Amino acid sequence: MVQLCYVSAFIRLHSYILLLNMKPGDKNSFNSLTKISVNGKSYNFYSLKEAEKNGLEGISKLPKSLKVLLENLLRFEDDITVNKNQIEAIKDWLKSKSSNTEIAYRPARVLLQDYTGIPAVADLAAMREAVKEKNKDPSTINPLSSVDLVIDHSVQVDKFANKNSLKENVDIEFNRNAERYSFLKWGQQAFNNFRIVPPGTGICHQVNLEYLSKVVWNEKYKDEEYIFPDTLVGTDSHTTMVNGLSVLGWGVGGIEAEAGMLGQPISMLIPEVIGFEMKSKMPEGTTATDLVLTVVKMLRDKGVVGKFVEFYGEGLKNLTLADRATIANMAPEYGATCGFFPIDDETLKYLKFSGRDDQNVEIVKKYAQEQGLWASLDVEFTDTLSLDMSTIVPTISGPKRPQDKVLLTNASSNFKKVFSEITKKEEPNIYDVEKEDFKITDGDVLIAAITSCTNTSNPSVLIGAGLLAKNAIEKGLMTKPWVKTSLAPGSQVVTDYLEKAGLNIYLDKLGFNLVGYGCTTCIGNSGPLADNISDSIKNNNIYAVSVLSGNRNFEGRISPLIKANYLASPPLVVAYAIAGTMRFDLYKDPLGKDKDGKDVFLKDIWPSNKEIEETLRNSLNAEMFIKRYSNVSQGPEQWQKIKTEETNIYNWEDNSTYVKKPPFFDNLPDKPEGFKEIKDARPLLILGDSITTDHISPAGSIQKDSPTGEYFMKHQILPKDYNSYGARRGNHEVMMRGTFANIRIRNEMAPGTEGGFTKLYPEEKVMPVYDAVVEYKKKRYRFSCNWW
Amino acid sequence: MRLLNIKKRGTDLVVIGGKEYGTGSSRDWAAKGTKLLGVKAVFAESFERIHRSNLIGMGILPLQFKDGINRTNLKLDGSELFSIIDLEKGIDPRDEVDVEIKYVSGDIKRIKMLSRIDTKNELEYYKNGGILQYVLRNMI
Repeated sequence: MVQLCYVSAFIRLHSYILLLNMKPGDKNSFNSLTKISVNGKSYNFYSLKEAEKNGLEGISKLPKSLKVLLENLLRFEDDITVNKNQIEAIKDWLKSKSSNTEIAYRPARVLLQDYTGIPAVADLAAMREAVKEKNKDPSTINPLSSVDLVIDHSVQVDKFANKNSLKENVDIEFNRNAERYSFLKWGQQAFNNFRIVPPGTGICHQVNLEYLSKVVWNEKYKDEEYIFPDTLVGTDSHTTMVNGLSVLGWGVGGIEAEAGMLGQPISMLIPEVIGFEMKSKMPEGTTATDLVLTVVKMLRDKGVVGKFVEFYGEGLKNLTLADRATIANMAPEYGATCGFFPIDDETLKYLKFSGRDDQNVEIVKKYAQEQGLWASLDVEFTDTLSLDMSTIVPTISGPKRPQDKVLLTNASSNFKKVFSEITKKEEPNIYDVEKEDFKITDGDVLIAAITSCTNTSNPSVLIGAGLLAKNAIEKGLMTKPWVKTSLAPGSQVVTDYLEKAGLNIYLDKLGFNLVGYGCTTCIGNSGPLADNISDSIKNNNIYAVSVLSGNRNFEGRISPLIKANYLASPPLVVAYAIAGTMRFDLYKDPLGKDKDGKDVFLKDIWPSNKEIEETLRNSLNAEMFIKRYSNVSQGPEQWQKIKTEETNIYNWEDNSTYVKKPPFFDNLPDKPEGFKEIKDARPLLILGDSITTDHISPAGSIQKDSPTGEYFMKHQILPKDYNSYGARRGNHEVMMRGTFANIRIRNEMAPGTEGGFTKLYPEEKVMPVYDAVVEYKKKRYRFSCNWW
Repeated sequence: MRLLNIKKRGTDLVVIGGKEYGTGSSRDWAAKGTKLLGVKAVFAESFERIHRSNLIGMGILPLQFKDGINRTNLKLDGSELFSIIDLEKGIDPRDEVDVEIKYVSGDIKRIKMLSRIDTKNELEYYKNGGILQYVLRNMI
C-alpha cells in the first residue's frame, strides 16, 4: 500500500513536471538571467544586454528576428541540445552575416489546422496506448507546449449567394466530417495544453493574430514567472502571417510539429536575414493587396529561399498592423522562412485595439525596449532592398503564380496575351449554357471569392469591398449571373464590423453572402459550380477564370474547372464579379449605366481612403474582439452536440475510414533497437532529380484504379466519397497505399510507366508499388516458415 | 547463420533518388508513408533539408552518394541487391559507410556513401526507430 501510494505520488509528480511547458536550461553561461518589473510585478527573463556584457559583444546590432532566436538559446542552454557554441555562433554571424551552424530552437507553442492536426492527435493517442501497454499511466502523454488546433480547412462553398448559405454549408461540413470532428473533440478533453478552436470560428492565422498571440509570452516555472518572446511553429505554411505582429513563426511538417509539442527542439541553420526597407506611404486608391503582390515579385526576383526577411525603415509607421500581417502572410510565396516586423507603437495599438489585457500590452512594451527588440535602424543585415511605397499601383497576380505580377492598367491586355498563348486561339469563343439566357465566353470570371487569411484579416480592404458594393448598388450595377460569388472571412469579427457599418446588405445584394468562416476557395474548397455551367465548361473546354483575394493560384488549386486564377484585393474581386470577365479593362470599359443612362466606371464607385478610414473608425471596436473570443471554445450548435467519451484512451472505431490507430508504436520494445543490419535490400524505386514530397505522398485526388481504390471498394466507399489524400491523413491504410502513388512519378525500374509502379524482383513483374511491398512481405514469411 | 540471411533476403527495401530528393512542401506523410512501406534506407545524390530530417524522424537512414557516383553511372536497373556493410555495428554522425552492390551478372561493387544522420540527436532518433519513439521512451 505504501509502495502504491509512492508510485501514484510519483506518477502525479511526474505528470506535474511534464505539464510544465518551459523548463529553462541549467547552464546560463552568459549570466543573462535577471529580473524586470512591469507595473510593480517582477518577472524573470534572459537579458540580451547582460549577455552582451558577458561575452556576446556586438549582439545589439543583430536583426530583431535573430535576437529572438538568441534569447531562445540563452534560455534553453543545457549543454545537451543547446551548447555554448550555438550561442556564440549567433554572435559570429555578425562577421559574415551568415552561418553554417545548426541550432536547436524551441518555439513556445504550436498551431495546427485540421488537415495536419488529425494525424498529430492520432499519433498522441497511439502513444498513450503504447504507454498503457507498458502498464504505465497513459495520461502522462500530453503536449508540453501550448497547442492550438483551429478547424478551418474542411468547410466548402457548396451553397452561395443566399442568406441561408452559411447555415447550409456548416450543416454539410458537419455531416461530411462527423468522424474526424468526433475524434478531435475526444482529443480536446483528453490532452492537457491542447485547445481546439471549433469549426465556423475562423482561419487559424487570423485567430492567431486576433486572439492566441501575446507577442511576449509568460509562463510559470517553479513558482517564478518568466517572460520571453512569443514564438511558434505551425503545420500550415501561412503560419508566417503572425510575424506581422512580431511573433516569430513559420510552417513545419507534422513530424517536426509533433516532436516540438513533446519538447524536442527544432533543428535549423542560423539563417541569413534580408533587410527590407519600407519608405514613404501608399498612394490614394491602393490597397495592402497591391503592396504585397509587389513585395512578392521583388523578393522572388531577389531570391530569399531559406532566409528570414525583416522589415525596417521610416515607412513602417504608415503600415497598419493588418497591412503588415498581409505582407507577412505571403512569405511562402516570396520564398522566405518568414517576413518579420519588429515591435513598435503600432504593435501596441493593435494589441489594445483587439482587446488584449493591459498588463500584457505593458509587458510587450517594456520587454521589447529592454531587450532591443523594439524597431530601430541600427541593424546589420546580410543584404537589403528597398521599396518606395508611393510607387505602388493597383496590382493583381496571375494566371498561375503569385509572383506573376500584373498591373491593373495592363490586366486586360495581359490576359488576352496569356489566353492566346495558352489556347492558341486569336479570339475568345462564346458558348451556350443549357436553360440559361446568358452565354459564357472564354475569359469569363466564374468564381469571385472574398476569401483567405491574407486579406480578410485586413479591415481596410474588407470595408473597401463593402463600400464599393454600396456604391455599385446605388448606381444600379449588378454582378453577372455566371459568377459564383462568396464571402468567407477568417474571423467572425469581420461580420460584426460589416454589419455595424451597414455594408453587409450591399455585399449580400451583389451575391457576396457569407458562406462560412474558413479557408474555403483559397485552398480549393470552392465547391461545385452549377451543373449546367460546369457541363458547358467541360464540354467546350472553356478558358474559365477565377478572381480571389487569396494567396496562391497554382494551376488546378482553386477548382478543377478553372484554368486561370488571379489574386486581387477584395474590392477588385467585387469589381471583377460586376465586370464578369478578365477581358474587361477596369480603367477604360464602363461597368454599366446609372439610372440617368450615364456610363459608370470603376473610378466612380471606388471608395476614397478617407471614406474607408472613417467607416472603419465608426464600426470596429475592441468589444467586438472581446465578445467574439470570450466563448471561442464553445463553437456552433452542431459542434456542441457531438458526443464523445471522456476517456484518456481513444476507442478507435473499426469501420472508420478517416481515423485509424497509427501503427508506429505497436509492440514497441522497451529499449532502443539500435542499429539493425540492412542486407541484400531490394530497391523499391529508382527515381530522378527533384523528387518532391508530393511525388512521394500526394495530397490530391485518389485514383479508382489503384491499391487505395481497391481498399475503398473493400470498405464500400464509392468514388464520390473518396475525398482527397489530404483529408484521409488520419488513416494510415490509405496513406500507405498512396505513397509514391502520384500520377506523375516515374520509376526508372519500370520504364514506360507513369504513376506509382515498380518491378518486383526476381520475378520482373511490373505492378503498383504497394502491391510489390505486399509481395516482398509475403516472401519473408515464406522463407522464415521454411526455416522453422 | 546462412539460413538467417536467406530468411531476410529480399525483404529489406531501399529507395534510390537523384538530386534534391524530397523537395517541395514539408509533408511529413512522405516520410511516414515511406516507413510504412518498409523502406529502410534512401540513397540520393542530395536531400532537401526537411525531408532528410523527417526520414530520420521516422527511423529511415538517408545515405548520400559521393564522388560523382549516381544511379546512372552505377548502371542500376532495379535488379541489384544492396548491403550496408557493418551497419549493425553502429555509425557516428556523418560517417562514411561502405555499400555493397550485387549485380545480377554476379559482379560486386563497393562504394562509399555519406551517412546523412548529421547530429548526435538525430543518431538517437535513428537508434530509437524514430523521433516519436525516442520521445515516448523518454516519457515512460
